[in-house]
Amino acid sequence: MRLPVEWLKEYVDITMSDEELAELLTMSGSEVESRQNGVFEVKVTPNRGDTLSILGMAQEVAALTRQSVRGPEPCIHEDSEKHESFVKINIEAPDLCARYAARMVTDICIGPSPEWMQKRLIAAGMRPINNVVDITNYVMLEFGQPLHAFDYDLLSERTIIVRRARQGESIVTLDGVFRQLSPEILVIADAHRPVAVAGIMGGAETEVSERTRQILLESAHFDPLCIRRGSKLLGLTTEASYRFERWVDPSGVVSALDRAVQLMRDLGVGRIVPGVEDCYPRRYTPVTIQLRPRRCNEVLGTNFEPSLMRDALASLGLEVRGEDPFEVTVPTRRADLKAEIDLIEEVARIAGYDRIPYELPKDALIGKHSDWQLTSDLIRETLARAGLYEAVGHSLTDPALVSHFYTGQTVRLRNPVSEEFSILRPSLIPTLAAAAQLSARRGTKDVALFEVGKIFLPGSEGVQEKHSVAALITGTLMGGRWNLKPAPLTADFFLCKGIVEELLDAFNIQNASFEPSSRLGMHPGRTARVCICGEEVGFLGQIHPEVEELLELPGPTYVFELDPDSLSRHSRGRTYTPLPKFPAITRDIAVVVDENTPSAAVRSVILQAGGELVESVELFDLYRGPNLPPGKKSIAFSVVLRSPDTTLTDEQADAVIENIRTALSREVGASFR
Amino acid sequence: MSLNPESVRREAEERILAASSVQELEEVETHFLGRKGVVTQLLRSLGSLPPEQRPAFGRQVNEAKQALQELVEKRRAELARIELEARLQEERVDVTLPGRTFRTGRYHPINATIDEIRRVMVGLGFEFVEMPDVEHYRFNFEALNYPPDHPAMDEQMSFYIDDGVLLRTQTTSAQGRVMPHREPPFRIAVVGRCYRYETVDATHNHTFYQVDGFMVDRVVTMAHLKGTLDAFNKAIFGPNVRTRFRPDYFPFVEPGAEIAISCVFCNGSGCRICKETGWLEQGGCGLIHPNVLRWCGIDPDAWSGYAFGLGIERMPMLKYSIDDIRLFYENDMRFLRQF
Repeated sequence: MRLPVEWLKEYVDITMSDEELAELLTMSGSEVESRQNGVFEVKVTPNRGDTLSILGMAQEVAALTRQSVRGPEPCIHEDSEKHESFVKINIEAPDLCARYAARMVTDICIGPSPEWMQKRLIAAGMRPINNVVDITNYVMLEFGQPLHAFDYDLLSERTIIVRRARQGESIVTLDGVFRQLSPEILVIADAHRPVAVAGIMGGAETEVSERTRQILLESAHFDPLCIRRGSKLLGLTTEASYRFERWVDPSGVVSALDRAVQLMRDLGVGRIVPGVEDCYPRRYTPVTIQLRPRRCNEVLGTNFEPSLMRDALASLGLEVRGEDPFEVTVPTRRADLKAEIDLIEEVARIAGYDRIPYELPKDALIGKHSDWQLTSDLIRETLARAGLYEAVGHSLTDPALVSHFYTGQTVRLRNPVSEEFSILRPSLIPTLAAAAQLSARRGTKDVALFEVGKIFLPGSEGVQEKHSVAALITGTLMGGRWNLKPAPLTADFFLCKGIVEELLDAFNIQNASFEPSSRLGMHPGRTARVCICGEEVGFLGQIHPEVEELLELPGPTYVFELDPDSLSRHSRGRTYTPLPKFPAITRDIAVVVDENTPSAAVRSVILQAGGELVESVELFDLYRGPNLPPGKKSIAFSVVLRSPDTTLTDEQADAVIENIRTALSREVGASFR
Repeated sequence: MSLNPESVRREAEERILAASSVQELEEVETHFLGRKGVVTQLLRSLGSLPPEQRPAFGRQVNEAKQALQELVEKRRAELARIELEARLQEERVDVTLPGRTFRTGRYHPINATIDEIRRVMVGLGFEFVEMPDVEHYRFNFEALNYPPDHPAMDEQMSFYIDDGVLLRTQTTSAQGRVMPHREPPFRIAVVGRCYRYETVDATHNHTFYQVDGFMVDRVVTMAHLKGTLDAFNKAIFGPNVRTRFRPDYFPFVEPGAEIAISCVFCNGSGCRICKETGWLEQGGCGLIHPNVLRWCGIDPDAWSGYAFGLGIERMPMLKYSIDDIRLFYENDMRFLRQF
């Protein structure tokens, strides 16, 4: 809200500078966001409709500086006695309109409003139109009570009906827009048709114009929720609806009306028709709330004197009686004050929050991280140590991007800001790929990223949220430029797999298996699913070269995605293995097998046939070449043999190796080099 | 045979001292002191001497042998040192050449900040819980004392998935989920992503991180809230930072306050970052509204609580002088390598 300080000064004494005033208001809850040429931009919180006016703000300043507001005295000069009713008001929906009052001004002479009024309107951010409209706006700004002027002679049968719109009714509003109405919307109607959308905007047909001779001036109290819903339904927010949504004082309806017609008379706009029609079917009365001074200090953690509390509340225009507890009567303009706790806040606000001490709660409680946080910490630490950088990708993402990797159902927003952020990600890989694409476009060829986060899938009982961990590598990791050995690590399937293995090891999972797999967006020959005890926990592999090209990735790109909750579930505690007391014997075996025999199959034969003396089996060479028959490969393993309770002899070792060889020939048709 | 122990000794001494490498020294050693060496031969010639000369000759040769052995050892040590020095000279590297790249990765600045917040809050006795991002209207608004269609929700324009199902606009949604199932006293914290319908620019994003903390106990006061947040900010931003509270409105707290910290750049004197105000807005807080406690089945006459919610992005933005919030979600390697 724009607040011209000069206007404010009409109702309250202000001796401090604008800067000090802005600070004072800000520190009491009415944040002055900016100020320029004596006009403050005040951020009024949604609960304080009562401060959406010059007088409301004057009341705040008065309370903070311990003085009283000089309100404009409503003194009406009616030129004669009331003789007859000029309008018949019928409130058919008293639940939505508690009060409706009207006055009539005749002998209207439309023209510009005086310059001083125009200046204030402009300062407050409104455009001057003509004397009648300007006065209604002026009083709205001053009192916070929206007013509306109808051309009296265009109202049918001198009747005002406040009712819900009927299905199929419509109206052209002052802005010239044709609007379809519905029963959720409250209207002001004459005998035949809606003439205004209540609390939001008047109708064009009864608009005040050059030809207007008499006006009916409306001042009312509408239900905030009804106005808000109507405003949303129509997509129309006005100065009036903004205020009605935030509460307009039902007790101030007539005084604002009086102020307006008095201004019209004083400024020679017209002649007041005596009498006010005031229909108030649902009366609001001030509520009385108790405030216990001890409770107030208990809540705030202060030692305020009860007299301070009384003064603070009284300065806000509340009536305070009694001692302990105080009986506090709240005027109807402060609908936000409903209970003792609200009064306590008012005491703190007026006293100043900086008078509340800083104190730590005395009782100790044990804090802790959530289980998931600890799991995620383990993953993040492992992957960062492995040389990957942590990424944070949007949960909201682009279905076109996702479609490269995922064809299942996704969770879609009803009201996305843009298509680019319209679905919840079902996988972390698309956003990592987008990051690699962006890095490539900006000239970075080496990308090593991981993310630990949530993915979202549609489920039978609503959206299913799952944790996920994914990584993407392309180019070189730890890439140095100068010519040293060993060469920098270059991303390939096995580097990617090594990182997965390191991650599995962090969970002490030793029995994971990797099986060839096919998957959308992935290289058909370089993708594996990761299984633990027969349960698929994720996959790894190379992004399909076609997708790589489509996404303009910097080069061959490898990814993995695993389910961390499965990893946690399969994780085993570690137990110490006693260090060996006896020396080991190491034997190398070069096994020649068919090209499509998986190395894991060979390894598992070695483990099985070797029996208990086999301590470890390490693959150290893979050879294909002219020394081998076509369609064959040679895999060399280093087999470490050890007995826990004796020093092995060469003969014992030879026997084990012989067993292994026999088994390999039998089981995988191996020959030896 | 006229070998004279004295002349042998002199010659040997000369040659030992003249040896210029350990290898040459060893050759000299073998020549004189070896099994077939000159000195050994001298000893063997003892038998050919007249008996009366033998003792003196024998002593002379033995003395010479011992002296020569000592000299060899001394020279060997000398030569070894010289050779080591030569080798070290040879092994000299250009220390200004770059180190061989060895990089561990880094944590994302947002998550590094969250890690820090977690450490501090656990120290303050908070227990972290996990909450869904996809939330019910009931927990996001209704439990938090938002009257239906209240204008307060305008500031929280939401992304909807279904009727009554939306992306949480605040991690405060945890209150209604947690409190009904806990016996006070408790201190709970939740950190995560929140979403609001906003177009993206340098300082706004439709997705942002928030941390919420709330506690319920017999007597929880505004002073406790101020003390806790002051301690929190001093732990995060350093002992000189000040925390300011001013009245603000959130439906789920009463009294409600906005939290601001003294600007970490100008220490409160006013600069470009704090828009000359000396203060940086950090979030909202207050005492839990009795209606919220009641909704959660906690008697507001017997228990009270405080709650606060802080934005997270601002902290790394201040710490590292990052001026564009979008950088956080781009994951440009050149950005991530800086932390």
